[in-house]
Amino acid sequence: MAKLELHKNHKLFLAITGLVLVGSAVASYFVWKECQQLEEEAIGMEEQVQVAKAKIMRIDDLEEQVIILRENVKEYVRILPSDAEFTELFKQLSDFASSIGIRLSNLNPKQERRQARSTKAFEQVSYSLKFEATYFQTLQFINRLENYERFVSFASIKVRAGNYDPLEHAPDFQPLHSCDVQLVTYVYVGGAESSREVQIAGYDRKRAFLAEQIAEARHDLHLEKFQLLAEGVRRDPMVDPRRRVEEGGGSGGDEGAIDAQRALIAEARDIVAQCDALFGMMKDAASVMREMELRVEGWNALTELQAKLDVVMAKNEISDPKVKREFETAILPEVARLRKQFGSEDMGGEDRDRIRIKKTLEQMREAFRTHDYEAVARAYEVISMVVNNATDPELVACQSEMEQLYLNATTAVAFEQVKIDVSGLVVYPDSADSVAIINGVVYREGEAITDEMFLVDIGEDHLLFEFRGVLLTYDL
Amino acid sequence: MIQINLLPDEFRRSQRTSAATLSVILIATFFGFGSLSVTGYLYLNVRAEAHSRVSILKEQLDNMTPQVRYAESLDSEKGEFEKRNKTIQEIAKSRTLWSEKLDRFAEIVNRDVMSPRHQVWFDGIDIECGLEAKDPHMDLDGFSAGEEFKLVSNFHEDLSRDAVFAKGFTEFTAPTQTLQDPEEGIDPPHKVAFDFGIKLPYEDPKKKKKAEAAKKAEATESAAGSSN
Repeated sequence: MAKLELHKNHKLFLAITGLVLVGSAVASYFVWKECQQLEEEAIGMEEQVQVAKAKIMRIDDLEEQVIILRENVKEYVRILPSDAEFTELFKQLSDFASSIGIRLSNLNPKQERRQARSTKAFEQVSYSLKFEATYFQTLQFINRLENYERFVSFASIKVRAGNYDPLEHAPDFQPLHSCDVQLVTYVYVGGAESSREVQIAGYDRKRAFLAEQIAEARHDLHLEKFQLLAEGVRRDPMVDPRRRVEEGGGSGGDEGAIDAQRALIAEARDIVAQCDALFGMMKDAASVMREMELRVEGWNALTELQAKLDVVMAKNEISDPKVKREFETAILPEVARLRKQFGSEDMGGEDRDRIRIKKTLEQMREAFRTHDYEAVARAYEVISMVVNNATDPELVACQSEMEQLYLNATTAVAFEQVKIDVSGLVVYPDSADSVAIINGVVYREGEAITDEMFLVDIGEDHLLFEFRGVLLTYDL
Repeated sequence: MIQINLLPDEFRRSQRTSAATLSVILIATFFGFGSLSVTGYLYLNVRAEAHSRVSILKEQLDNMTPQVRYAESLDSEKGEFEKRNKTIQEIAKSRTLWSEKLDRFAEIVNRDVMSPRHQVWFDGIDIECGLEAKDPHMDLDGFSAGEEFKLVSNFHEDLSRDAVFAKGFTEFTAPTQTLQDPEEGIDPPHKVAFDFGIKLPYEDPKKKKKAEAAKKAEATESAAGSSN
């Protein structure tokens, strides 16, 4: 084997080469390390770029969502009063109270405002109110506030019953209860930050483009309201309903009259029950003809009942408070419900009005004939409230006759109040020379007694006057 | 040992590099220059490429930054407006229409004209339902005409079974009743004093916050799970 002989130069060369090799390896290591770091940095940045791209991709969607939210919040907060509107709210509180007949004894706004829940954009504002009112006045006041255009809710309501003693007070006495309520509303303070909102290029154009979506998203907010119906004759739940025992037993009132009123209610209940049964049969009727028959039968029964009830209302025949309450809360709504059920295309409003007008006209004629002028006036007032002006010539004639009867009746009522004192008569049959001494003055037929009243005829047992254009008999 | 070559130059054996030496030199040269080349390649090519990639990405990111910031601002504004939206909806929904409740209440009390199930009247009505109320309730304090305790129970039952009145209440506590001394001259002379409470729903704000946080965490976890 050849012996490896290295010349001095060879050795030097090898040493240098070795050094180069080692140096290169070290350098390569560091460069490789740096490359790895750069690679990692690049991967991280790529991820950032991806995230950034994803964010940028969402810009259009975000702009849309922000516009929809901004516009809807702007719309929603209209239900809340602004700071500037608090004076108006104060005024409204007083106006509501005075329109209902309540006098506020204390109206105290709480000084400190609380931030509402999750966002600083809303601040809660509280008011404490004290007043005295009946239960139904309180109810109306609360209802007015709840239906106010700006959001108002109640944090507390305390009602203490007013003083009422059945032994001391009349049954219709209405005590005032002391009420202490705390109402709450919110103020939107986020509107002041609008300068800090992100500026969206072409906002108005984009908003116009998104109008439909804005409207769709807006359906979500619904501020419930309750329409309080006009108060009927319900008793105050905070008043003792028991009655004072009258001497001779019973709890007051003419028992006979009350029995008659109760009988009327019972009769009305029977008719309502019959009509309910008829309506049930009508729904199950085998033929259209049968259905029509039942409808007419039910309708006639109801019309008769309604006519009776109209008379009762016109004559104010129900005096007992309990019976009256039952009449108004149980009978009238039931009749109205049945009228609605029976009312259809076949028996339209015009037919109903025709029957009512004719029935009322008959009652008015009868009442006028028996000189019950007040009943005539009441019947006319009731029918005018429930029936519109007719277009049918027959009904027009009926209505004008009713109007004339009403005018005559009111004139007759006024005539009854005119002082007529007849102290002497000289009657010549079939002659115009008859005279009558009225209020100490002698008058012949055809002479004027006042500017509105003329003596038309002198009879042995009556005088006939023309008062405000209406002929009226004065029985002697 | 020292060797001395005494032969004249022409007779001396020619001095040439041995094959082994040459091989060693060649190998050393190969590795030496090879490593240099690798280092050069790494430095001039791979490193430069990585550098340029990073600078390109940096530039790309820099260019995107304003848009990203814009998107982030929009996102945070969206979050804030969603909160406002939610808050105002909660405010609107949180309202109890007390006029409806009290109207219905009066109607139920007035049913005494229709049936003899009860005849009651009240001395005090206390309603606490504010957001800060820890025990929102409606307390009724009243009297029932007559001696029968059953009538109060009837009234209690009518209230709790009335769909309009009972809506939104969580619990009607049982009434406590006490027969009062008879009052002369009034029909009926006896009355029963009673009181009972009606509870409104209450959610502890701390518990609510915790529940909301837990719900959020759950939603995030499930989103992460579905992306994996």
